[in-house]
Amino acid sequence: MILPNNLAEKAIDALLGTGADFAEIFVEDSRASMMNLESATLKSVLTGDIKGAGLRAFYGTESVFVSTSDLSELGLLRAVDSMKLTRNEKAGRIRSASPMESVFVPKPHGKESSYFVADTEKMRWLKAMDQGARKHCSEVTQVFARVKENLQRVQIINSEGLNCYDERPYCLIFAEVYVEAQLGSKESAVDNRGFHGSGETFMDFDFTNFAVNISDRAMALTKAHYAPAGEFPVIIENGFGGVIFHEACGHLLETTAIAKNASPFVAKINELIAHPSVTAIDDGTIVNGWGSLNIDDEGMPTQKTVLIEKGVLKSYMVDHMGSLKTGYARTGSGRRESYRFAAASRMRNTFIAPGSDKFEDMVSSVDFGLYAKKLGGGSVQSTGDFNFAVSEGYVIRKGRIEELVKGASLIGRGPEVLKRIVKVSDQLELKNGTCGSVSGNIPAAVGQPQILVEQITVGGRA
Amino acid sequence: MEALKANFEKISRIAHADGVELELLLKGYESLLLSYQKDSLDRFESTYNEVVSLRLLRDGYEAYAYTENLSEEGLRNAYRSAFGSFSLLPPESQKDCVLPRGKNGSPERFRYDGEFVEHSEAELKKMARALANLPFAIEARVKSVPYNGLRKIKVWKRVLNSRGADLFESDARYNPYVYPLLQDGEKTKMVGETLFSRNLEQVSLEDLVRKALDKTIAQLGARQASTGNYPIILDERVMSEFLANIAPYLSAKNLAEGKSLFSGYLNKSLTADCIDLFDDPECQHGVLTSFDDEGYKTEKTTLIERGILRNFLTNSEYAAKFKFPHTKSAYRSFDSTNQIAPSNLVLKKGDQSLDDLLRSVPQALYISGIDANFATCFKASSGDFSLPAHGFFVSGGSLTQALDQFVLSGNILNLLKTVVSLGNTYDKEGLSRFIAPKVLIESLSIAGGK
Repeated sequence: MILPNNLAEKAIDALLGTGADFAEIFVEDSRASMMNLESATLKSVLTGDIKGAGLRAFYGTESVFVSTSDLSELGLLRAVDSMKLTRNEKAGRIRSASPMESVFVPKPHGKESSYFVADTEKMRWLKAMDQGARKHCSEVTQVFARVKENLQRVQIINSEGLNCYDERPYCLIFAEVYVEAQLGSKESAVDNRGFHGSGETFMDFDFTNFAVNISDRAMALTKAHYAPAGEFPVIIENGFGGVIFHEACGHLLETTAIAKNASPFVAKINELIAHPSVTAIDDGTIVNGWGSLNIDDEGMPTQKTVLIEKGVLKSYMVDHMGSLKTGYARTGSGRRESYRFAAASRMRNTFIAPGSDKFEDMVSSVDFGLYAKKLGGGSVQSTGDFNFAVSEGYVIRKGRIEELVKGASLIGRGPEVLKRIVKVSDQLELKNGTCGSVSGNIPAAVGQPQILVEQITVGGRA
Repeated sequence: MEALKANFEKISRIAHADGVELELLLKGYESLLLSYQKDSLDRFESTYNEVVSLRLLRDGYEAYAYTENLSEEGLRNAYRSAFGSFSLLPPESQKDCVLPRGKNGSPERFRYDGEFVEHSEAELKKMARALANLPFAIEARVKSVPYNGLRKIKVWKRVLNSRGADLFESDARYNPYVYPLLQDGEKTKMVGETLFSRNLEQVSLEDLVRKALDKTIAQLGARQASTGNYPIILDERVMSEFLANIAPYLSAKNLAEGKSLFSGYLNKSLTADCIDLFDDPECQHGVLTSFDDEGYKTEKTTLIERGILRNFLTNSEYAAKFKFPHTKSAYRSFDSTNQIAPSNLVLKKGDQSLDDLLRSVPQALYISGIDANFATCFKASSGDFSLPAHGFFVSGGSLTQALDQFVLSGNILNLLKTVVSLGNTYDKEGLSRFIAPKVLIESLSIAGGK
């Protein structure tokens, strides 16, 4: 535990003393380590720690949040005092906290219980990535490689008697390869892998092959034409292709948006909102999944939530305040970047479930379109307008994948695109990413099998 | 603050004994956010944090650690953690960094010109409530106001080093913002407005709301853009986002690492000759930057002069490495190593009013907003961009038709070479380190549909 029981109880009692119906403290003690390699040299090593608490009080469906890095009794009570000032006009009945229950025991992650990998091992990974790219391709001009480890220790205490603790190790590797082709064309390609688990999860990882693939992609892009512009059928690759669902639909199913009537999917539970080939899931239980958790950032055990089943909307992603505002049951979806943020309903590992179509059949069914093989990030508005970047694609002509193209963004409206996903393959993959929203940047995975969208706007070159 | 200095000096003595020069960079942030949904307080969030980043220099090697624990014990632990990484660094990682000397240990304090007017929490809540409710009062088609609020922000920075430097600066602003979601039949649109001010008495929240509503109403009638190549006029805030992504090419660090597309252009023609670009720490439209993150006092630097690249931005390491002028442009966040960034990157205004720009072309597209995170739609290694955006069709000297989300594509180097003319205004109400007028570009690609 980070905060002793007696101090936790005092702080919770003080929060309830402001007239709150519910009080919560999210305590964090995190440590991070990062190693960077560039120009074939270990350039920097950086370590750090973050420690503090976020205190939150509910007054009906209103909430007040204060964060502090001072975890002493004085620091916590000072933070509570600052909240009292906001409640002058609404001092209510003082509730008592429920007795604290026993501590939650975190499930072990990965193969080892010690979370940080030895520095010498990490240096070996970095060198393998650098040398892997350079030896494979003489046109490589620069390799940037990084290993980042983070151990987030959290404790969540609330006035309903909860007092739980969890340890969340993350390990991420990253590489970016720059090339310059013979005619002077410069390009780069990037990739990363991450696990919710100790770095031991990477012990059998092929770093050389990882870097070789990146350098091959960068070289291929030096010969790529620009993507065409217009409205076409698009096959979106599996894995990070799942960002289309994340942006087109995922954020709009969070009660963060639903409660404010800021989503086209408000009041659509049990309605057909997508093509019947689409089943979509948000799952926090996947072992070592990048977006997985034991407990969410409000202390609720994580869940697997079916969002859409054969095109029918079945559930939103619901945090505690979202539940109070909308009446829907919580789904263990309360998440935040750190103690400096109030929790909000967010995604975990979000993906379209495998279907039964074959990728080859999808391709052969397209007369002219795009195969979006590598995607970048994207964004969405409350109107449902979304976009995401295609960093590597291929033109499809008469059922065949042809020339490599680059530099396109796909745009559309979520409710329309969901209904245009007409085929879903059987090859599901998930990929790690970082999702930014009201409660900060959080690790979240996206995924899908290959899907065929029968029409979408491709923003290439006119 | 003085406790921090006392603790730093204790750690400095340890560092001195270890043969280490020590730099402490503190960055602080305090924010109060008030946001309503109708009359219900949706978000009251108060955040205060200070993070210290230590940089250790010994024999040309550099090590880092950060912590939020500003006590002597916290700083000592961070120091030891950073010190431990010296043994990992190979000879090739040595660099030539020079810490600035202080004024005999006397602190130097900097602050913005003007007055930050404090408002009571009750007053701020009243204003925040108004932001949530005014849209409904003004416009019947408002469905909700999902994003609205009033934020009070204070930031501060301090640099201490073992050569006696002690510099501190602070700034504060209010940031009201409102994003109304309008529905008209089947069509929904949301375009927001935001501003920054040190004095809310000089701000009309109703004007802010009306601007957001006007922008959104204009988009309700939006049609799909036709795919093609067009002359393009970029709005001030849009062009400032382009500047933000051009800035890394001006970094001598990126030049050294082979990441700058400006490589080979020093003292050569890089852009259209109507372009003058400066790094100006005193720009009144920008952000207070009295000293860089190594503690060197900032100064104005000419970067591009009539289209010719005159300078790269440097910190002490890269000024020495390239024997370039030291432009005092060191930057780092608490969890990064020493980088290079401008104070305020300013594209000099031209003499064209909006009407002049609109009338100077038979047809064009006016880009009023970008609908994506620029970085995800931009390939820095090649300069290619493919940006979802919205705006208006221009014809006969006026904005004639709002256009639905389309994709604006091109190459950023080519864009700079094909700037035709520059507007004569800056955005006075935003807050950015990237300050630009409206810009007319010869031609870019638009993908809207058929």
